[in-house]
Amino acid sequence: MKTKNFIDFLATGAGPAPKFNAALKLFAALLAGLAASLGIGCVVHGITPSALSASARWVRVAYALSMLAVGWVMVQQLARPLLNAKGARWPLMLMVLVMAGFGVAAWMASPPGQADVLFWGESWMVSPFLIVLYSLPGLAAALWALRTLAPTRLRFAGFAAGIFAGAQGVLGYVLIGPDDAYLFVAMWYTLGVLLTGIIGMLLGSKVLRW
Amino acid sequence: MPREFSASLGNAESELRALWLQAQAGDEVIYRDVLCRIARLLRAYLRRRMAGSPDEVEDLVQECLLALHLQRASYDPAQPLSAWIYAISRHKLIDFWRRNRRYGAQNDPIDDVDELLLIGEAGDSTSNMDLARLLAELPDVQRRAIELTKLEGLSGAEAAAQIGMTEGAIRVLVHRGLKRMSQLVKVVMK
Repeated sequence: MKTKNFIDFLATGAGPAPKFNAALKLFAALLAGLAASLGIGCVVHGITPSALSASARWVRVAYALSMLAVGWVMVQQLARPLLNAKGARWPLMLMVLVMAGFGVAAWMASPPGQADVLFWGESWMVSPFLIVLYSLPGLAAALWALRTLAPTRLRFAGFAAGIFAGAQGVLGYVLIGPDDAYLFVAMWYTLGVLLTGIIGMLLGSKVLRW
Repeated sequence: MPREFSASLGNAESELRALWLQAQAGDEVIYRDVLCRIARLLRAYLRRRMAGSPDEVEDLVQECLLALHLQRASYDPAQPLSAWIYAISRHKLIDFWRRNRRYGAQNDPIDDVDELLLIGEAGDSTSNMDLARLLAELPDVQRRAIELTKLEGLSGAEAAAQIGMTEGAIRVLVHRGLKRMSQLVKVVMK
């Protein structure tokens, strides 16, 4: 077929370009992921007022929300055809560093011999993996949304979807996670989100092709 | 960015972008014109990178044009148009290489192509794509919607009246049909 004719075919009746509804689709994915993550958290934990009382819990919530914000910006950017997508790398690292800074400060301020408790807590073996589990519905939803959009950096877009979903997973996991030391959160919660990001990256190059 | 997009564009970027925005707003005559210009850029870009399979350059040019058309909502006016076009065509080129791994070695970018060969190209290059065959593979309603609006040139309202659907439904059918076609070109046209 001649390219000229093909262009005629494309342009005929093309009308105005449709709206790019990335924000809407990703917001729907966010709601689905949050509902799943908080749902699992409530079912496992039972809904009790005490679940929301401890102030240390709010630090974890704030950490998750800031990761969610960065993840949101990243998926928004990567939903469009992009050449290079390094934009959100620094905010992400900065956030982890700030959390780690809090952790180290708390450790310095604690009585000697506390480091083990602050770092390993009682749940380091399960926390990262449970966070991944809590994040999977959100990851599926985010990847589904991206599939209908136009990412061209597939692995990076998948990674962003993983960070976005991982933050949603943390929000649900906070309801049951027993450890609240800053150092613990900076290490094991971050690892959980990072693992979700890596799963997203591996899936991205497969499922996001178009 | 490769020079086909940066050097040859230069001032042309702003001109191309202005035209593109008018096309986005719904001007079909300009859309046709701007797609022809983009096809020339794509041809130059792809020819360099598909030296091992020159017969398939035009196939990929058309595949890229189809992708640009399907994804035109994703163009952000705050970004350079050439970067957007390049991101999509690069994506399609990588996809092509992946499909044709055995040719990979022959497809190294080459830089000593006769420049005249690259630019002196009229818009009448031919691909192996067979529109009729692709359309035949589509579900009936999608094919019908595409035939009416894109081949017979009916307006959305006229096509809607013929099929007995709303205009919006026709638009969705056409979009889905083209999307399906962009998947089919990879398998049917081999």
